[in-house]
Amino acid sequence: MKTIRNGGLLVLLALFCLLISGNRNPSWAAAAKSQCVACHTSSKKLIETLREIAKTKPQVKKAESKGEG
Amino acid sequence: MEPLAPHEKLWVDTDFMDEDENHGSIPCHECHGGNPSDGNWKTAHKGVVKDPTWPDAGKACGECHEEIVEVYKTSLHATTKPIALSIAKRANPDKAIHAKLDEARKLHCSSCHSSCGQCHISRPDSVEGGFLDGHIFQKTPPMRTTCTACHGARVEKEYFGLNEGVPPDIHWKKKYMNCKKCHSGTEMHGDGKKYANRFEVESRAKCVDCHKGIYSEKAANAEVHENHKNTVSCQACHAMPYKNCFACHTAKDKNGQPYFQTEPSRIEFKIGLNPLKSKDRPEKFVTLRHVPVDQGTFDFYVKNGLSNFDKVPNWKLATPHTIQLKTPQNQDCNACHGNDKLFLKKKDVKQKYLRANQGVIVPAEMIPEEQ
Repeated sequence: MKTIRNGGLLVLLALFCLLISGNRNPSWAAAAKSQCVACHTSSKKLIETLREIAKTKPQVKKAESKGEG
Repeated sequence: MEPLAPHEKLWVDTDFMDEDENHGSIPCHECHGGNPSDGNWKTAHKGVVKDPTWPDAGKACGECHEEIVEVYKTSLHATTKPIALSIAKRANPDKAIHAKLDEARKLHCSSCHSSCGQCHISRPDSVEGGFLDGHIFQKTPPMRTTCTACHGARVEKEYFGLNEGVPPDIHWKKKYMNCKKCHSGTEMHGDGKKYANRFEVESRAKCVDCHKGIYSEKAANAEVHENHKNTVSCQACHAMPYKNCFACHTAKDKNGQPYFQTEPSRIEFKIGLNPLKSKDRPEKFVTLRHVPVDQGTFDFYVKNGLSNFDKVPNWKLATPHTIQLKTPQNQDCNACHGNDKLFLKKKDVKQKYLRANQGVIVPAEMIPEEQ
């Protein structure tokens, strides 16, 4: 009887785990590996990268319009 | 509108992936391209498309929003057709000259288009872009960072009462109505028909959509409304003065960057003859706005480009966003009748533009007589 009860509990636990993992947003798995997500969700990384980009790009002053558009 | 800091423009909120079960589960590279497993930004961004919804939103949005993507191709927000048409009508017929005008138009005027992404995800490119809210999709585009970001010089200043001496539009002041209250998604997205201008759009905002009973016997000022029905536009009685723009000249600087210069705008109110009379818009008298085009708008690119300038008036049918219940011109009958200052007359138009505007100038004998 005790073996059956323990077995049942194990099955319930397994089902619970499946349920939890099934409910997780599928993007999580991909997002965890994505370098896009790693950088674009971090202000610090974005600032660092943008500073790096700014150093490599020639500074072209934007033409200034006068009056209302 | 203040632009965002460079990193703010690109920062993605994790809530987008956690809470948007439709869009948030799509891997970045499926829409934007690039290599998501590459940790080096230089190589990872190879082939990245900043706005995958422009010029063709089919791949990014079409799988789920097929119908909207299809009709949007004809939307005025996508085609900016009225600009191209009014340039074409005024253009010199010489093909080489026309080609140069087209080049200038693409450089200066076509940046004003919008895309799915530039209303529902980002600020429009014309105001330097950047996510509206960490890439979280906005079902209704936020008024101040999308609609009036582009429609800023005239609509925004009028609607919010930012022109000196002119109060906010009553729809904002009393009811805080956002753009969507009048301008539906169908109007914005288009309906698949190729309209020449916004006045033709079937789903355009119409005053009577809300003010349904305004021409009924029980309406306030029923007699006045009935007497003016189909003769005078709603705005001619209920708009306050609004912005008129003049003499936009386009050019490129020494680095090849495009820019423009305009003469100072003026806050004026002018009633003229309806240039777009139709079964749907039968009024004789409408409000007119001076638009910034002039004969020399594209002189930097090609001389005499708009040699047919007289084909289209530069006082254009307008629907100002300065609506009030009571206005100076509707205080009593003679506030308008016999008040020639309200009407666009020959002397209000520059000599060189008299021919272009002859169809909208009100001759003295047509100004309603004093009662």
